[in-house]
Amino acid sequence: MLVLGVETSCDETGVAVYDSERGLLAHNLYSQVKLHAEYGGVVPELASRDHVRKILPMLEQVLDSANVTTADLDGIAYTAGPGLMGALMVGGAAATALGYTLNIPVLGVHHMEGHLLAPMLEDNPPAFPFVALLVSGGHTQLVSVTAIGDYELLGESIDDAAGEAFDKTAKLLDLDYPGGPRLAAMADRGDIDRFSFPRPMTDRPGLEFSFSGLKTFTRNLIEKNRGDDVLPNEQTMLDICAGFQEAVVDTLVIKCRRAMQQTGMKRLVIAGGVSANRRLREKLEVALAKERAEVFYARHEFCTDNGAMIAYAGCQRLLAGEKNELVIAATPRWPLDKLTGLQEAV
Amino acid sequence: MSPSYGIVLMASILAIETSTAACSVALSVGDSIFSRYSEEPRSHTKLIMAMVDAVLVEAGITVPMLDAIAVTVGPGSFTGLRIGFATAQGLAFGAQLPVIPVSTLQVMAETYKRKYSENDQHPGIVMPLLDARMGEFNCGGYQLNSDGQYKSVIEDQLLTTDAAGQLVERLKPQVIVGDALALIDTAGLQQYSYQSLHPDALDLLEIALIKQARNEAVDIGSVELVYLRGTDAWKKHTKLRTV
Repeated sequence: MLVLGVETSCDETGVAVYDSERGLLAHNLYSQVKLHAEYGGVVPELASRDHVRKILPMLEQVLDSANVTTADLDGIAYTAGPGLMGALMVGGAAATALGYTLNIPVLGVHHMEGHLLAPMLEDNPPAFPFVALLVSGGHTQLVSVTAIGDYELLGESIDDAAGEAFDKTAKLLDLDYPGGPRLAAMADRGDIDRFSFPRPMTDRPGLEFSFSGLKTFTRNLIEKNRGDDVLPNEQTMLDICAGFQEAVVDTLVIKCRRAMQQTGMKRLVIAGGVSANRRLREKLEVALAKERAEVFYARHEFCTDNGAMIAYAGCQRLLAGEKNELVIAATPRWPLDKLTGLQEAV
Repeated sequence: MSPSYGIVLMASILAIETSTAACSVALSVGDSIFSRYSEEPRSHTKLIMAMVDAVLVEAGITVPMLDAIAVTVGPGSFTGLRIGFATAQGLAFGAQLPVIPVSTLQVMAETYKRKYSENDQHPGIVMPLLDARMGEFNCGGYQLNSDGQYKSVIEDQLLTTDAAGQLVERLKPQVIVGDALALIDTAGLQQYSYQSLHPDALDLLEIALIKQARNEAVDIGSVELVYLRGTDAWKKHTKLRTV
């Protein structure tokens, strides 16, 4: 089955062509990051406008790269949520109308299901069951995955998502938008031992996270170490970044390890933008080796939003016979564990 | 009442109109017109493709059999405009069809003519207005020319309440149409006749049929939505918040 994937849930327009027999044929991504940089964050109206402008040229390119035409497509999958309402509608409307014109099934896909299945696009995909750590700017969740659609939430952040904590802390350090990846790059050059950050909620049982306290801790550190300037000197900045990242990573690792012990599972999938973090991958590999468990993640470009993961997730469900009626589905808030398994849906 | 079209065998055009609270489609095939219209609020995503399907099924044709897609391109509700336009993008891309982009305000003038202008003796300027919120209004001015077509006498524009009031006083329209009660009250324009209305795809279709006959259909890749409100509005907003 040849499936076109369309992702427009936030500030990236992603399209891809996935074939159930031959794998991923092509993908194409346009990031609006420069557009939103001068506003210091994603402006939903501008994101929606840019999706409208980019979607058709990108569809043309990706079909060309895959060396297929619209007539070859067997189905279309688009991100139906969660995400920005106006942005979701653009991809949803275009995909629904295109599928209708081509007389092929169309399906709205859950964005986070796309993320958690993204490692399936790699050469060594994880087998079910596994624990998934979904870690991005909008989510920090531990999920037990027994099959596609069989998701049980084990724990999540009670306040900021991990990626959000990176971005907000970067703002305190006056780093340009998007600050999270910049903070992580600076952390690699800092001393992890100079400042001792707390590891929130690791001293009590359970799989909940809390990251907003780290932001306050950082604010106090900046204040204490700044001297006459607004910000501390460069080395201190690097050391703060290193201490902050180490605290977030350790917290995630501790909870992941706990989730593996609790479920008895031997495979961990990490997905979402923060799963690209080098330090997180390193420390998880070491920690999970002690549990005789394996870590799986997607290639760097499929950790952040992309059309490939939507094409893949959509293909699995379309193969099972799922499809939307003629309604453009856009669900800004949509808990992952509300999804149904493939068998239930057929 | 069915509209009277001056063409016996029409081009096959699907018209899509979602730029205000109303949602409508209209289709011309041969000598017949098919249409759907709804004012159910916030239901465009649920209705638009079902309406498209309904008129095509009723006419017994499919998207690839069309000659063109007509779509309103603004001004109007940003989200509404994008739902209609992205739908047109999907249809046009899938069947390699050209599109006919038309101003929402021009369609409103045409809707006024069809539904309300029977008793007009000397048609003057029709001013379609849409409340753009934030104290601003989308304003147009249209007048019938000798061949019975509306021509704009000013460019469609976004104006503050004061400037919109002044424009009305300058153009002295025969009628104000659309969604402008807030302006009429605030700017004291009660002496002007006013007709509340939503644009209707039937009237978009009427305009599109003429444009199609003049070979004015274009590649959808060359069409930009006309929001009128630029991106500065968000910049100001952001700055205000951070001060």
